[in-house]
Amino acid sequence: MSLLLLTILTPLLLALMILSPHLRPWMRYCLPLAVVPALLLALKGDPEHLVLPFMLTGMELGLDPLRGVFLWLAVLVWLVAGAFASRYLGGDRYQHRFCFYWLLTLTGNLWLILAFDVPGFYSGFALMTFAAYGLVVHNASKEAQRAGRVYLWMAVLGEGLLVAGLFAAVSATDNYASSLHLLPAAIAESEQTLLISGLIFFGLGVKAGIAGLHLWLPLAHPVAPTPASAVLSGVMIKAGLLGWLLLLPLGEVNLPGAGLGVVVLGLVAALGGALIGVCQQSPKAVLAYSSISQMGLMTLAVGAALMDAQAAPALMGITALYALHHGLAKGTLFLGVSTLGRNPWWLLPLALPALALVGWPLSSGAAAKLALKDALPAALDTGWLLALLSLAAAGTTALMLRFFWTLRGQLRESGPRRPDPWLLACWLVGLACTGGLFWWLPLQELPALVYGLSPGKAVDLILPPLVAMVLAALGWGLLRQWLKWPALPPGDLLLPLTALMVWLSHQGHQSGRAVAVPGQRLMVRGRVLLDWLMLDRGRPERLEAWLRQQVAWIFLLLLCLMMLLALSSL
Amino acid sequence: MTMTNMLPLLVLGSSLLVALIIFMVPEPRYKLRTTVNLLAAVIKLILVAGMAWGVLQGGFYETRFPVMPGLDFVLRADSLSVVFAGLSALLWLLTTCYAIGYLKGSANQRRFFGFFSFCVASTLGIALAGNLFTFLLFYEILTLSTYPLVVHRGTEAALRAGKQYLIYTLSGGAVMMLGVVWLQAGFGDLDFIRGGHREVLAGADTRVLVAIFMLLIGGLAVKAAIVPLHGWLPSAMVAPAPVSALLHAVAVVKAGVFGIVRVVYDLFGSDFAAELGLLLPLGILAAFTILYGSVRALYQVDLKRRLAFSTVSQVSYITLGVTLLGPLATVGAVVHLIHQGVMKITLFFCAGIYAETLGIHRIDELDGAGRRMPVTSVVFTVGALGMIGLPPLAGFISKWYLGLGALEAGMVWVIPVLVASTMLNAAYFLPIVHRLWFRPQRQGADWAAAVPGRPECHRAMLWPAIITGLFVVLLGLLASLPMSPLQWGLFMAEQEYGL
Repeated sequence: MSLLLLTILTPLLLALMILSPHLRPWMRYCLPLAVVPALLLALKGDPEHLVLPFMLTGMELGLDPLRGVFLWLAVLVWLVAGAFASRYLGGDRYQHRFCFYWLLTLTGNLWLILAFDVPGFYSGFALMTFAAYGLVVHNASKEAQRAGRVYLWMAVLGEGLLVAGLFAAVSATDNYASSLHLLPAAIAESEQTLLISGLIFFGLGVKAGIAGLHLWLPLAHPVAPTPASAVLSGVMIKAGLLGWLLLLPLGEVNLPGAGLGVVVLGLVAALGGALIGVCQQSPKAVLAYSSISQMGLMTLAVGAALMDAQAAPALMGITALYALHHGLAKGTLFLGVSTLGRNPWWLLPLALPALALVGWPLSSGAAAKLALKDALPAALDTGWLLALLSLAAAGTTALMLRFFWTLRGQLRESGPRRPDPWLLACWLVGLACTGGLFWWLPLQELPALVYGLSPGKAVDLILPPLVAMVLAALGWGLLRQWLKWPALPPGDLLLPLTALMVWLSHQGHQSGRAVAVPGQRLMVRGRVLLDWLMLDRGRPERLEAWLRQQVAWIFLLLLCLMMLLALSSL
Repeated sequence: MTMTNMLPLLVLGSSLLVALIIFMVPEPRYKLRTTVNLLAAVIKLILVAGMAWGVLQGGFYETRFPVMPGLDFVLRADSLSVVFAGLSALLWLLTTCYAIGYLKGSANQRRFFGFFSFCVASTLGIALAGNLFTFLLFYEILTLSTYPLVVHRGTEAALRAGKQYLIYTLSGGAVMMLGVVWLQAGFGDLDFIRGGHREVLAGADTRVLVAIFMLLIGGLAVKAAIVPLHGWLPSAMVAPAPVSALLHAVAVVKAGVFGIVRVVYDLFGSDFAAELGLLLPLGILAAFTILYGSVRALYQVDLKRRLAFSTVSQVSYITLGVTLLGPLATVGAVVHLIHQGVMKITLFFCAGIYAETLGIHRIDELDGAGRRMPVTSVVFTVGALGMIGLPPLAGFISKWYLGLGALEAGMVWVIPVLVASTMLNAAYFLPIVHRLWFRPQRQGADWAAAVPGRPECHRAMLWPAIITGLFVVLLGLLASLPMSPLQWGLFMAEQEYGL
């Protein structure tokens, strides 16, 4: 059987273990095994193609260099996190359920990476999105339920936008072809390029966590079990990015206006994520905001590729590598939260992925950032943008400092005296991936990242984090006596939104019923909002009842009228 | 008479005969009745499958004899009728199984299964009807044979709902009858043919044609539950679960939509109907119904009522697809005719199992039911996700073709309707799924404990649900297999548009 098919089928079939009470206890040990065919496929690395004409509307699977990068990312993060989870879930009553959703999510993720047809990609995307709901709400706390609700509604919104975009994109091809690689050119040649690109951009943007559509992200990451947060932040949000790279008309057409808009949106996320992130209380929430901020940089690269078709091919490859670097580093950071011991020295090795994110010289992050800057089109290669990028790097540094700070507090309170050896081993493998293996992966694009480290570049790289560190130290030293550290709850924009809904619902219902904690009843409020829009819940009910009573008369009247008409016409 | 002449009559006659036999089997002869029922269902399925195979090979099956001069009774198998007949034959077999488990030990089974067979026989008659007169005949028989099923429980609510149902459907039938008579008087006996009767109708007064079209569609719209004529459907929920399942998936609602497909495609012809300006208003009405049904479903707290409003919404997808010009929309409509049936019957099977086994009727009582009845809940989840139209399930395939068809026809406004409906479907199905799997069991829910080693409910109810649930997955995942609904849709679109 083809390795491509096996890659997708293995986790799916392993998920069926839940059917047998005898196999269930073994499920968690199968989490890392489920990735093995994918690992073999990635190692083999050859471009492949497989057509299954009977499936969906003609399914195509394959592997090409761009997908290869994302496949490697998925393999490494899912493998390490899976091994981590197999231990982490040890005492969990609902571990089977978790494993089941884990394997389904993995299936979806691998499918969307390998899909060459539109329905296949969309299937994988939807499977991953909705199966991941089970991971987010796993611990069933109030926060998890709320995060799950927000996650689900944002996901549904994204699905809606995406499917509209896909309809339009496929309609733009000749003959309604459903091959993915035909879409960018078709969108570029269509009269509605901007509309279609916009639908796809925002539809996938929910997953990628672009500014404004990121609301689910800081809620879902902290409440999910740690290995789930690692795959959420490490791999799954990159599915949105992969979708952009595959579907948007990058390299086909110059869209200066829209591209600039995307660049600005990316900058907003990069800086705003850092700003809100440093006000977070829990280390995982800080990391979630850091993901938003980093995805902002990747969004910026996509925007740049939209602006300039010539720069696009290089940018696409580098963006994919950036995603690989970020996914590995962020996955390792997340796993560290639940691994490390009480002793503060444990934080030291954690500095490696943190420095990679910051872009310290000789790290994967530095390479990715330099390559990204080099590849920016001339229109963007301006002082202000570079200044803002440096500011973002400083912001990332601040985030990492805040992360270490909150994590130290958490470990001091509840960290284990001695880390669990198996978890530690998994985490060290993750660390090795981030720090070393990254450079040895058999990827075509990787040489693009190799750079000569000149003193000028080194200063560029080191200065922003250094400034941030100094400022942070000064601020911490001087101001903490007078100022309290600002604290924001995760979910930022969600709070005013919820307040608005509550207000609207009060406009509809003057009953003045007591409002529970804002935000927890978002779903209920949404419904009440609908009530309000329809003015009154009872109205359609009454109308229908009236219709039911009168229907015979209405028909009789209609009949007589028509009969007269018929007779007059004959 | 040759075999090709007899086959449609044979198919129809066999199911009518079964109904009569079942009426004659005395009430206590439970096993005999079950055997006859299942045997007949299997035989019918085989006959219809044979017919479908023949049609695919280009065969032609027609039974025709004159009733009076200028008026024929015509039964004919073309690709559209085979789609509907196949759906009805397959789901009848499963629903019969289910009903046997559901009604085990209850009274009046003879009456129930007798009318049940009658109902399906008339559905088959509707599928095979070759002209409007034959169609109307079976359409009315369907009305009368479903009434005893709706009021089967005999409670006051059931009788009231039955009365509602009769008022609605009989008035609808009368309106349609006028349309049929008018058409017959003005233009003679018109068979259903591919592409419609443009050459016959083209010379007539446009206003007359519009009036006839409105009468026919108006009559059909009652059963198709198009707003504002949908009122009977949610009240008919008092019927036993297998009846609701069949009512929503194949029999009544589908008969109405099937009639609309016939009138638009095979009587007027979609091009001609569009030229008369008839399709756009119907399309807008269907779009409104889609949204209205979904919004109303959101407010229902009773599981079956929510499913009923969902039917109101989902069935209009088919009508919407019919009003969009172009082969892809035709594919979408035909495929949805089948896929919606399979998905909805799955959901009703599950709703019936919850009601029978755990006594659950309201949605908030479903908390934690996934742990108690995992198989049923998996099947329900699959059906619900399919209804939302998530890939790779059945609902996605039909939605995909409807959306592409809308753009092919240049009807961009349909896309927001489809997207909004998808989101509304998610809004009323996902909370149920969440309750099933992620909520703890409610305090005070006195569910009978599961018996280890035993299936979670009667096997005869569980297996049909599992099979239809599997179909929901396979119809989507393997959509392009030969003989799949999608391939039938493409085959029909080829015929309709002569590609």
